[in-house]
Amino acid sequence: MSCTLDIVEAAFRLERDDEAWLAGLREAVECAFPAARTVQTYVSDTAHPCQAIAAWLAETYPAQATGATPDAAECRARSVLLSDLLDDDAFGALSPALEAEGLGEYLLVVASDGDATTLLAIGVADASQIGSSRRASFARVAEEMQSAMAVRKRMRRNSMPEAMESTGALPAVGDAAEDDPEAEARRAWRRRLFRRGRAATGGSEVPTLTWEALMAGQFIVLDQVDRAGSRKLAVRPQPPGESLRSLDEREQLVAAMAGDAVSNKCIALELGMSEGGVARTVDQLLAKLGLCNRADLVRLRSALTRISA
Amino acid sequence: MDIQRITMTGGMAPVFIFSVDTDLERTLAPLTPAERAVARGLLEGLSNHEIARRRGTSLRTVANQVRALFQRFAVASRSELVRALDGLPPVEV
Repeated sequence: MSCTLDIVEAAFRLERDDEAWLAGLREAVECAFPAARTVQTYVSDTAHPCQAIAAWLAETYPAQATGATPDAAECRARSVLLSDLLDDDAFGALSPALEAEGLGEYLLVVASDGDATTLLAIGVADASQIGSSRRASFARVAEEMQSAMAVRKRMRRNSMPEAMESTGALPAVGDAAEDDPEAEARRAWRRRLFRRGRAATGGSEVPTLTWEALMAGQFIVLDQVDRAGSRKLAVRPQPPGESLRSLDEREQLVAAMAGDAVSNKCIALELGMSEGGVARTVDQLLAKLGLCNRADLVRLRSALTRISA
Repeated sequence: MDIQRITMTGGMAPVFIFSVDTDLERTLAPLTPAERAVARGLLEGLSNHEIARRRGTSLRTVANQVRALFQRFAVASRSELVRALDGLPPVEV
C-alpha cells in the first residue's frame, strides 16, 4: 500500500519540479490509456515508482484476451469519476475510500495536461478483487456524481458504504431502454463526458485522419507493445502548439511509394534519385512520422488509402 | 487493418488505434501455425533475427519460412508481403 501511495505523490511532486519526467509519464499514459479501456488488472509495484509505472503501462496493454474485462464506457466512467476527486487534498480523501473498499494494494495512474491533473485509472493487484459487486459500487458512485458537485465531500465520508456491495452486477452503460430514468441519467452523464473531451482539446476540431494529414505532420504515431509482446500502432493528433513535422515534397513522394511497398530501387528509378538517396529519405521520413520501420509505413498507407477509397 | 477511434476523457486528445482485423485472420488461416507466427512478425516489421529470437528457432528456419510466405503470396519483398497480408495487390510502377 505505502509504495503505491508513493507513486501518486511522486507524480504530484514531480508535476511541479520535473517537467521532463512528467512529460514522459504523460506520454506513456496517453499511450496506454486506450488500452486501459479493456484492462482491469493494474499491478502495483514496489521499488522505483517511475519504472514501476512504465513497466506496468507497457505490460497491461491490451488485455482483450482475458475474459471478464469491463467495457470501454465503464472504464472511462471510473476514470472520470476519480479524476473529479483528485486535486489538492483530494487524494487524501480518496485513499481512505479505497481502503474502505478493501482493495489492498493498488496503483493510480495520473496524467497531467497543463494545469489539469487527471487520475486516469485505478488499479488493484488482483483482478478478482474487482468483482461484480465492486463494479456496481463504482457505477453507483459514478451515477451520483452527475448530479452532485458535493460528491467530493460524500466520498470523503462514506462514498462506498458496505450496503452497495450487495447491489447486483453493473448495469450496462449505454444500451438501456428509452423510458428508464437511470438510463437517461447515464446518457446525460455520458454527454457530459463528451463535453469534457471537447473542452480538453481546446475546442478545436480534431483533424481527420487521412494520409495527407499524416504527411502534413498533423498526427504523431505512438508505438505500443501489448501484453503478448506484439507491436501496435496508435496515431494521435499533434497537440496544438507543438511544431509540426511535415514532410517535404520529395519525402511525401517517397513515402507514398514506399508505403505502396515499392522497392527503393524502383523508387530511385521513378524519381531519378540514387538508391542511397531513397534509403536516406525513407529513414528521415520514418523518423519524422515516428515510425520504426517500413512495415509500419505500408500498414498505415494501406489502411488509410482503403478508408479514403 | 481496422482503425478504431478512441475518444479519451480528462484532457486527452483522441487516439486512433490500428489493430489487426478479422480479414487478416482469414488471410492467415491456410498457413501453417509456424508461418502464421512468422507472418505476424513481418507485419510488425521485425527482422528475421528478431523473429528467430522471439520464436526460439534458428535464423535459417525463419528465412525458409519467410521465403515460403513470399511464394504463397507471390510477392518479392517484405513490404509487398505486408501489403498482401492487408489484402491489397502489388503496385505496378
